[in-house]
Amino acid sequence: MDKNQILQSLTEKVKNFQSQAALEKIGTVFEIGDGIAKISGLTEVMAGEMIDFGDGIFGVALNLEEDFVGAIILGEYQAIKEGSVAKSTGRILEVPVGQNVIGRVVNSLGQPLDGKGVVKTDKFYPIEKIAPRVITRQGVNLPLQTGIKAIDSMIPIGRGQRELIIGDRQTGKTAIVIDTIINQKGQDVICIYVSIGQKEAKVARLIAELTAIGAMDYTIIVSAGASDPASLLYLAPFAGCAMGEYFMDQGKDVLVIYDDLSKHAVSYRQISLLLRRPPGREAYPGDIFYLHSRLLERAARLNKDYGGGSLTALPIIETQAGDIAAYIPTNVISITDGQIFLESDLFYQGIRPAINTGLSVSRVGSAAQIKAMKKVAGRLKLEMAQFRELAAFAQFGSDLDAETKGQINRGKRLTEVLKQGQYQPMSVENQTLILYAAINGYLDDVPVEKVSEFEKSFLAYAQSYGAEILAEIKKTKDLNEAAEKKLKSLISEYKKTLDYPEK
Amino acid sequence: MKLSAKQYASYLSEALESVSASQQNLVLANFVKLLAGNHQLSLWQKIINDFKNLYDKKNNVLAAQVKTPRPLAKEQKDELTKRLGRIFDKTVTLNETIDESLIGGPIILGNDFIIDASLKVRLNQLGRKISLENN
Repeated sequence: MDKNQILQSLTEKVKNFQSQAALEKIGTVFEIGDGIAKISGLTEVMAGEMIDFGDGIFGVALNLEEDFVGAIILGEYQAIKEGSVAKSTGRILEVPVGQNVIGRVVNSLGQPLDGKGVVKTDKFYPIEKIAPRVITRQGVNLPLQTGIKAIDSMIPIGRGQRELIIGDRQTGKTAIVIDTIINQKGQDVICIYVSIGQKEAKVARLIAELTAIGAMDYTIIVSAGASDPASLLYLAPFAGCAMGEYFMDQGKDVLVIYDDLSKHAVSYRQISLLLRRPPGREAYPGDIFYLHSRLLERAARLNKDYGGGSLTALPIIETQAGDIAAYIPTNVISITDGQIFLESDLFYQGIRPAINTGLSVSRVGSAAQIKAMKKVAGRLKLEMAQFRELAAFAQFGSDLDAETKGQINRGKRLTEVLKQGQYQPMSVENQTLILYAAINGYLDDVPVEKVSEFEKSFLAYAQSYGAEILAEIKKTKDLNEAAEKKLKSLISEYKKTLDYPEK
Repeated sequence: MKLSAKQYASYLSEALESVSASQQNLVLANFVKLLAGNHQLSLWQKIINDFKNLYDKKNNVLAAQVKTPRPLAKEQKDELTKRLGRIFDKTVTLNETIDESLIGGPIILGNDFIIDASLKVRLNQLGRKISLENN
């Protein structure tokens, strides 16, 4: 385009332009500070309505009182002064949604943070929405594979479920959800990672990692960093959820990760205290439970009549020194459909992911497992439970009877099999194979330190010699008798190729 | 319990209505004494504001301010008063101020509303429209 053309098109546009002056409701700021503004006037403002302070600064009306409105300011508030004019917009706060948001890094308002230009979409969803009602829902019965052996076998997560991930700092909470995102590649699941109050460096590393693996093609990152104002931290999970709901309404499967809700609670506490709402236990406001329950209730699996989409929520809670009886952890534990417990003791023992399989549960349970996995998972849970009972005796090695010794040995090998490296999610077929081998005693004669080596080479062997078994499991999602027979002979065949001596 | 400016204003208007015109000065004097006794004289500005609002509301009057870059002609002013009266269904009193920095277009300001047709707002609208179309 040369410059005449540009000029011509501009003239055209200016010529056709009709400005409109509309009547707008206004108020005056009479108090400002700590990200909170008190505004007089603003008649007929709605709770949760966006307020325009001019110059692209917006706020949200949270407290509607007799003489004034208390509002949180989204972003910088240095430009707002006492006496500034605030306009009501008549719109509830909303975020851009749609296909074009995928692959982007945005803030709580849907504004881009990745320097790739504006998010081009004309669809908006309100960030606060009532969760899907009973008639629109159906039971959770499809698995959401995390690719982590310990989770998929013993604590299965279904599409539409809410599973809490809880643990101290540095126990690998984020690692689990990142592996889960990576494992959704090619599964037609849209992932939304909401970072609340995390270090920017951590988020940057995570984005780099996801980009390198190619997981950003189906992932949205909503980031409210540690230096962002509390108002943005408070809105971030709701914004992420709204973006997910759009895809759920389109009949797609969505995975939303809230990392983490303890910082979300802290930011909401700050806002509430500044708005002079009465504090309760641990100075959290009275509606902190409702804040999290209405957010997590928006996770759902819709039935066929409503498109059959789903939204799975994986909230994360960080505990202090393993104290799960604190206020926020107990709240979120009671809201979710189960929890995955991570312990620093296990982490330092080298059991990674450091999942405490005894305390972790999934209340949806085996309804969200494929049949093949169900066949191995039941026995695995039992063996692991027995092993935990007996683990204390393990140190008296020689004084035990043969049966107990056998159980301890089996348990040790199972623990070894359940270990898994970061960024190495495993397909459910492979998981079934190795767990089948372990649970049926094929690993009992493999030295404990050789187990991971065995696993690796066995799966490589199965890739070429047991391809039809893998294909069968993938297709039928079951391990029928014929396939089981083949699998048994495959394992025996493979063991013949091993060189380490049998005990 | 301390009373708010709003409450003072409404009590004052009630008291003033219930007495004859000759006694109103006495009521006012008593009111100031009461304020002083309650150590709330500093509220006077707010009370006057609230009283004005209350008075306007009772008499169905709307006090609006119009800011223009140039003085309005008599007909323009009448037309504006008439139209505003129709929108709000109230008797409108216009208070005109000149603000040359506007360059073009008027701004009509009320207690809790604004009708902004100034050049700045129109140019902003144009800018937004063009940037949206080019995306």
